[in-house]
Amino acid sequence: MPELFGVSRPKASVSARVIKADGTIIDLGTIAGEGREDPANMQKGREARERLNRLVKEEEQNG
Amino acid sequence: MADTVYCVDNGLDITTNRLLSSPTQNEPKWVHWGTGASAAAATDTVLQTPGGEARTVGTITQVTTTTTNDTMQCVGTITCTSAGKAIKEVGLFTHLTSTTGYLYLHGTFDVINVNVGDSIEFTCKVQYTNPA
Repeated sequence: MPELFGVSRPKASVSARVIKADGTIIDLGTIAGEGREDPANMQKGREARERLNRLVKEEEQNG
Repeated sequence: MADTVYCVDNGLDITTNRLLSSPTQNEPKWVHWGTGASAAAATDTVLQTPGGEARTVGTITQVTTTTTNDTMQCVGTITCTSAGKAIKEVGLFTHLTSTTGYLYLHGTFDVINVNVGDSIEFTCKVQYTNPA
């Protein structure tokens, strides 16, 4: 009866901060696992990724 | 890509091994990243497409999520040293080298774009809880 003895895999999560070469820090929040789906985290991550992608694109355009 | 993270099957092995009086498995403190596009699975033993950078040693501590010291946390940073890349996966391993060592945790996520000189500081957590 596995449901009674319910051995479960540990809960995992990954958070990330990008540190640009110039020292700029972009906190992406929780990017996988527990807490990822929290609305505040999703919003924070979306805005951080937009900022990061903008910076990366600018760097590529500037060579 | 849907975000996914597992303390993989090898990670369960590492966990119980580390409880022995003379464990044969090392701490899973070596952090590596990759560009693989598929979601992580519990049976994974390696990253899908490891980056060319070397694994870096992270700092492992016990932290509290729900019950005192119920969570293993490893914080490690990798710096992009060659061409810019689209990072989509991270792993914790027991060894520095890619030819030895076991995978403990494998996470996959939406792309993080980095250029040369950029770094990502990963904070990986594994919480051990009592079965519901």
